[in-house]
Amino acid sequence: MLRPSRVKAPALIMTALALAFFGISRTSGSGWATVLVATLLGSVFAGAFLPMMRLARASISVHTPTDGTVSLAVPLDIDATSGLVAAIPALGTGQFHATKGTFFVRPAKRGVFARLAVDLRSSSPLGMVEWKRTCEVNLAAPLELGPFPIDVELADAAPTPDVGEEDLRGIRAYVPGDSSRKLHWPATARTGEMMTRETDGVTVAPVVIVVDLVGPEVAVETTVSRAAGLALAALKRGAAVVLITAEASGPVTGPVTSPLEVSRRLARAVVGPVYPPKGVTA
Amino acid sequence: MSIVSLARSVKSANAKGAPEASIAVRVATLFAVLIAANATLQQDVGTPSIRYALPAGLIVAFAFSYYARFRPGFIVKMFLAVGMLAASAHFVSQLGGIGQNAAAAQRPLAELFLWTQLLHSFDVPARRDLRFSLAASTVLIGVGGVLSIASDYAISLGLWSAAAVFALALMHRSELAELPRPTQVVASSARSRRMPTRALATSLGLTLASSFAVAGLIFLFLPASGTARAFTFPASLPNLDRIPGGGLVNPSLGGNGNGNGNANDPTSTGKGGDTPRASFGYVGFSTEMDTAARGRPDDTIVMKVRASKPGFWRGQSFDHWDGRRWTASSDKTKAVSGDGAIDLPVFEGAVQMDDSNDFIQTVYVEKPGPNLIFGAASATKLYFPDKSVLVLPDGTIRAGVALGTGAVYTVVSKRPPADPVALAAEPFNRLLAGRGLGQPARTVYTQLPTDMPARVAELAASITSSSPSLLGKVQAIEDWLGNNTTYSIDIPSLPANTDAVDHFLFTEKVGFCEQIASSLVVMMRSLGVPARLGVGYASGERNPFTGLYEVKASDAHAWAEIYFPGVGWLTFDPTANVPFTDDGQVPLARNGLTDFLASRLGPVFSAVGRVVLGAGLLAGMGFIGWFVRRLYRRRQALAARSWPTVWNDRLDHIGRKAGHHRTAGQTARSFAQAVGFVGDDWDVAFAVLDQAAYSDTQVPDPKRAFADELLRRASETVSASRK
Repeated sequence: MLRPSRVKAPALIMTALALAFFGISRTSGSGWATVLVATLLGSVFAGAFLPMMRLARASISVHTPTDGTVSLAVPLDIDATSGLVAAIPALGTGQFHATKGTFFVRPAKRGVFARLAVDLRSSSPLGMVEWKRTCEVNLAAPLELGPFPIDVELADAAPTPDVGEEDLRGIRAYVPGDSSRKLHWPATARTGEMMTRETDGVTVAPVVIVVDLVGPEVAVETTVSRAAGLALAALKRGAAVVLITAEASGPVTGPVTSPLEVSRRLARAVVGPVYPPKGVTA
Repeated sequence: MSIVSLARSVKSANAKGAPEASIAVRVATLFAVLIAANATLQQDVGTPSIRYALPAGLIVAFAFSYYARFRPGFIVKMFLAVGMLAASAHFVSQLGGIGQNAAAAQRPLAELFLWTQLLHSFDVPARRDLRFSLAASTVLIGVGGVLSIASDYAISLGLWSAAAVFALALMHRSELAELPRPTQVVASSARSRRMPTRALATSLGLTLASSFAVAGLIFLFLPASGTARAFTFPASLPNLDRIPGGGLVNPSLGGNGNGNGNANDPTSTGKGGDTPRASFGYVGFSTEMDTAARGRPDDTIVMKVRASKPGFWRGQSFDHWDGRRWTASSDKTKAVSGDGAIDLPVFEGAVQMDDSNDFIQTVYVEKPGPNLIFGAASATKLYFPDKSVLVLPDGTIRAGVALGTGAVYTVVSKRPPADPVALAAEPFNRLLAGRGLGQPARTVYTQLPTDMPARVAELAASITSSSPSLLGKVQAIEDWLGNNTTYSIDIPSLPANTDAVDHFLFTEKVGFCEQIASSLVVMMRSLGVPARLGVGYASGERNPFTGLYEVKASDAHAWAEIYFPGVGWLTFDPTANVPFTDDGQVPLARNGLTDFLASRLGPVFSAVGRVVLGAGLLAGMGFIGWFVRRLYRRRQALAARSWPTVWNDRLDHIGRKAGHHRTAGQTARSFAQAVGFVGDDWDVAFAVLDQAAYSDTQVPDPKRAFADELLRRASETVSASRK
């Protein structure tokens, strides 16, 4: 909706001067003072309503990458009518001069954004009265903003990839959570389906991270960032990682094999029941 | 709020703003200030030396402000404070000799404003200060407008408006430029590169046009300027040429300088040592008025009158009629004086009224004329620099000095509280019962020539027989004159030994104001009603822009003044559309606009008008063309530079802001390291720079944008550290 949001200093000063000169014209008989009053008020009115007209005709398009991380620069390709001030509250951009080009933002909030609410403001050309309008901009592909990971030091006893000499006990069908290192490629090639080796060596269970989000927003985001750090550290060691999260559609349990997957899964994570598998503690 | 917190608030409000870097903003503001200062100086403000020194001083001051915008400014402020004290002392010293009339303080005050504007211009580092300058220029242009009585002030006001709108628009652009912005403006073609310049010019043009259009609309509905609540009463004399003897002198009539001049000889050429009659001289401003004289004054503007409403600007009256000439039965004057304001005596027949009926008129003399003080009837107070004037029993006021071009005086008159409806209801017989005038005065004002043809009185009686009231009788005669006679300034000569009124009413039936008004006076006198012939000027054409009535010599007029017991002398004239009482309507600023424009369209398209207008248009178009071309070239030059060059230049600029100067042969990388710009991001940026500068492969836009963003952040960091 188009509405005035702020009357700026020049409009107030010019109106005050117009009132003063109106008084002078009524007491001095000066016709030029009356003309000056009309001139000042004309400029104030024009300055007040031209931005409204400009904003009513304004357009803006925003193109984003599909992925990003909170606090790290994300490029936004902006194409807007000139003379506009824009802000994308969801991405915490603050106000910026919207023209055509690439604008880097450091998003403050995690989440998945299929459309962005863009606050457009204008007091152009005279800076008298600022008008505001909020546009909903649909993105070509959703922008998934993952958490900024908190560094986590894994203990020595933490799971490590099962490497070394091991006796092959058998081959079975792949199930989610199996390490990619345990894929039995000959069998996979033969059967056309993913097959996993079963060995007699030390078997390490995948790292299962239950992202149970409760509490205030700060606590929630801290939890998500820790989960990200933990998942990335585990992946770095070569461990299989399973993330259990709640998404808008319900609980989701699944492995993640790359930082991008971790980011996306955690970008979608919301507060909700996660139903951790039996025997697994968060 | 405690004093400490109040002090903090004041300090915070006065905190120095960020220096304004835009030269365009400063130039536009300077233009507005210069135009406003010049417009004020043109109104006789300040000494001639100031008129040249001030504009130059303003330019120097703005240039100084720009170069000193990063400095603390304490010493400058100290100097400015001393300057302001000096200017204030100068103002106070000028106030010493102005007496009690506040109007005399207007020009010294305007000069003080000018000094304030000049001194302030030395300390305008930030945009907020420039805004203050712009607001101050608004005050200056307004002060000039209050002092101006000329139409050409429109040029100053128009130019100032344009400069102020430009300055505001550029200030807003400068404000926008401070916001974060996309780091790479995509300009895929020459056409799209040209767009900002075109867009700026279009935007400014549209803004100006819409501002003026809305201003015009608002003007149509604003109340007219008025003097009803005036608290300044302008009065000045360019020189004091004393008139010996206190008689009537009218140099515009030529002759030997006495009141008669060549009044009755419109063809006088001044042979024989006499000066010829001026084209704007009117025979009525003399000791006698011969209705047989022919020849009317031209359209020269003889004076301008600032008043809330129109009126008859009365000069004098005649009370003795000999059938051809009007004369005054008494030339006995009474000197009255006062310091600043002169209280005028109340004469017989005048009605006391309260101040609510005050009608204030300021007269600006444009051409040398009679030493008569013109003003609406029933003048009670006069603001006149010569502290003494001479007053006649009929209320005529004569100055003891010549009233040449540039003389200004203010007259306060009483508007009769007469209600036409009540007057019409007052029976004629009761009015004649004798309130107000004494018998001697009644005798003077009902005098008629003994040889006046009887048919004049008979006509008057027959016309008014059906009107029971005095007002009705006056209006009945006015109506008869309107229906049965014709107004014309081209009439044949009056035959010798002929009664002028009788000849006009029964023979010619064609005449101008002297014949028509004389007929009304004579017919009213024949009914026993005191009446006299008033002469002066009709209100003139109202200039809706200056708010002044522009009185031409051809507005010289004669009318009938008829005495209404209990009310006073009321003015009647069937040939001029001037109400005889205050109609109570609030006039609008647009009143008279159409007439004014219609009468001015001719002169505008005259040869001189065409030249002036053409030169003005050419100058304006030349300026706009120069401005647009400059912007376009600048944009082109910027657009022609390669991205690595732009990036390098920006890096140099940021380095200089941080106090480092790049030496010859120093690479961008080593210079950045010297400034302290190191890290992974900078390594990436320099790799991008190298690729863009030295590789044949195209550098992707996001990479350039990354490097640009890095520079922008560096610039912000450096700026923040400087603060």
